[in-house]
Amino acid sequence: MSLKRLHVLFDDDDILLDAVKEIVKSKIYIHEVYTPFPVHGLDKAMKLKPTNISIATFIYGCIGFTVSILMMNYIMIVDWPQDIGGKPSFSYIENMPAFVPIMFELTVFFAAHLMVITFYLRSKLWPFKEAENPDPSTTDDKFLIDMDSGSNLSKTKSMLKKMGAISIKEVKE
Amino acid sequence: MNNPLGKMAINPDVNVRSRGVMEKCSLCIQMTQKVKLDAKKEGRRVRDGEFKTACSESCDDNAMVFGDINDKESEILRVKDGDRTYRVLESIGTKPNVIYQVKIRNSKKI
Amino acid sequence: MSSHYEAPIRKPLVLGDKSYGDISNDIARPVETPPNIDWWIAFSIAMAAFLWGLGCMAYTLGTGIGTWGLNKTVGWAWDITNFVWWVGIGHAGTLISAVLLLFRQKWRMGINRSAEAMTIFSVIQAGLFPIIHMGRPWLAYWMFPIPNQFGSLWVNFNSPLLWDVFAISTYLTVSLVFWWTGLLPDFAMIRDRAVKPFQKKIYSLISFGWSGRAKDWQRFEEVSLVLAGLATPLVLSVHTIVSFDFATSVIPGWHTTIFPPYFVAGAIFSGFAMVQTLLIIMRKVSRLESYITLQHIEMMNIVIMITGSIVGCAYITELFIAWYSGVEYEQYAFLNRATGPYWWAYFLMMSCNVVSPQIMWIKKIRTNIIWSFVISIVVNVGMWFERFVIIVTSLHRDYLPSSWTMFSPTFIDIGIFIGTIGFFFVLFLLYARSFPVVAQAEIKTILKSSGENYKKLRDK
Repeated sequence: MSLKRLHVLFDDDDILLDAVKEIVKSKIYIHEVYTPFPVHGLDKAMKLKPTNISIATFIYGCIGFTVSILMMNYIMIVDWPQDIGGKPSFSYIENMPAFVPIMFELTVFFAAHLMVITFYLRSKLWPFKEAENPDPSTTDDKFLIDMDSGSNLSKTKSMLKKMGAISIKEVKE
Repeated sequence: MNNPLGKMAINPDVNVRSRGVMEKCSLCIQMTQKVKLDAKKEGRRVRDGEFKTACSESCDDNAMVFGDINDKESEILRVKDGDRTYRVLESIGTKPNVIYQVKIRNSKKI
Repeated sequence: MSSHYEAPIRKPLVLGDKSYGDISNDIARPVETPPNIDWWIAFSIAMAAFLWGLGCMAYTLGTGIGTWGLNKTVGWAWDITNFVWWVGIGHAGTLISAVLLLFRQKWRMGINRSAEAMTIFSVIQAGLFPIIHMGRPWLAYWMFPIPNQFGSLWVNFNSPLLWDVFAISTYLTVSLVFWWTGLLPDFAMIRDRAVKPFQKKIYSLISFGWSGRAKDWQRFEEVSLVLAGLATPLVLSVHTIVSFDFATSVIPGWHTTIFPPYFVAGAIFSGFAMVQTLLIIMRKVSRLESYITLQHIEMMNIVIMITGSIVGCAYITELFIAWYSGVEYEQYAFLNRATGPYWWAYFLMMSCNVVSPQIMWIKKIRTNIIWSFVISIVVNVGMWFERFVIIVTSLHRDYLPSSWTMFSPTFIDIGIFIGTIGFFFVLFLLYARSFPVVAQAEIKTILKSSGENYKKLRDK
């Protein structure tokens, strides 16, 4: 029997999680799971790789930190040092306490904004992007698994029904 | 103002600002710059007494002295380190660049 | 089954017999139904105030700062008071979203969306003041370090006023993205049930195509956590930097190291009070009492009580140190505050900020909606007067008696302030009818653990 694509709806997150675990155990490929809220443990059950976005954010923060230091060093020490209230204007380190607030703020600024941009790009979120959830109720109160049928369609269907699926639809690829 | 009399009244080298700009005494920075530039062009150091402000120059009684406190032989340094010197709100420690001298009173009473 | 267990001693955070679908319906209802007459009345009043304020700002722009009551001695008055007041209010939203997330306080979920909205709208108001108080606001871009033809004349990075520019810009933009990112799944919920084509188009646009994929949720959760981690030090640092505007000066009553923690505590204090004011009304009008429960009101009151006590402690510390230091300028500054020509402002500040939150120790008061609302207004009035007292009393009589003078506001000063209040409410009222005002996706994650019906079943 040829592989078919199934869209399976559930109405409970715990039932969904058990179903996903069962499907993975049966070695049937899950393309995607659409849920109205984050289901704790779902990404692990689907064997999704953990996200590296926080590591990227740390790097972005380091970039912000560096940018702030380079900027203020150039502006206040190298290009146009001035005697402002007697503050040491020829050495970055000596004047550093005054620069800390901006060093901190730019670190946070770069980390936060570059992280969010990375998130949006990686998850393909931007204005005018069309939504891709097959069933609009998956943002309301239903959960959808987009999966292969496996080699035995009827066996898969009966397993899903037993696990609590409320509807199973065969879809064109 | 655009006549010899008017030009004397306004700050040389500086145009009149538009509304909304706060300005205060700049200790005639333009005159200071000119003195430095002239000395540089002539290849010499600035002499004591060359640095002037409009007010110090025009005062008949030499009540105001202006100069470079980094110059070890300047009159201003002598004044600054003298006995009569005080600054406004000296205890705060902001060391303003405008210093005053105590009035000499010709009497034994304080 | 997976663990949705919550100890029975915890009160439910979602009341009634709600299902996931009910949550969607309840939160979508204010967006999908037209507003009633009360909304229109409130909106008209807010809009009128906003337009009046806009007129006053335009007059200031065209004629100059001379239209305000400022003078040589009192160079800052209502402008900076309002700026600090609005920035302070904003900090509560970030604290609720970020700090309470890090502390895993589930009660934040009913209120964080609206609290963050409040933050964005109040920081917008705050940001108006540095711009309109400039003599030449059309040159505001000179505040940024942009290479230029004046020999590249740069900004002064030693100045707390510039630190403010960076801090407030960072705070506004980071709060905005935190809020908007959290909104994406909720906009998607409205998009997917929208029937009217215009509504569908708009919510499709602003939901950025959110589809609720598992990988997206995984990233979403991580991003929320990291943003919370980044926003938490922002709450502390931004108002600290604002306090530096005063603390780094030499004026008695300003030059004191207690300002950073005092200002931050004060900001959270006034911010939570404003959240209370807004939510007590909104929960009734939008019928969200199941999500913004009495428990939420009480928790916020407790925060108000604690931060109010910290502020009260700071006041007493200032007085003690003024006496103990022996510095006559500092001593006079506080004597003048309490007994000088602005004694009435000082009295208002003390009674509103120190006395009123203390009555929250009484459980009957802090669980009472009317009292909560009244105290929230009182606290915000008190906190405005605190900033006014700090700024104007310290400026109008500092070191040299020859400079002492009085300050009184012009109708432009007052008009601009009222305008910002109007603008704030215009934004909030629009938000309340077009945005999902409760983080419904988050609430759904705690329905099984903290929903009243589920708890009842479990605790049988």
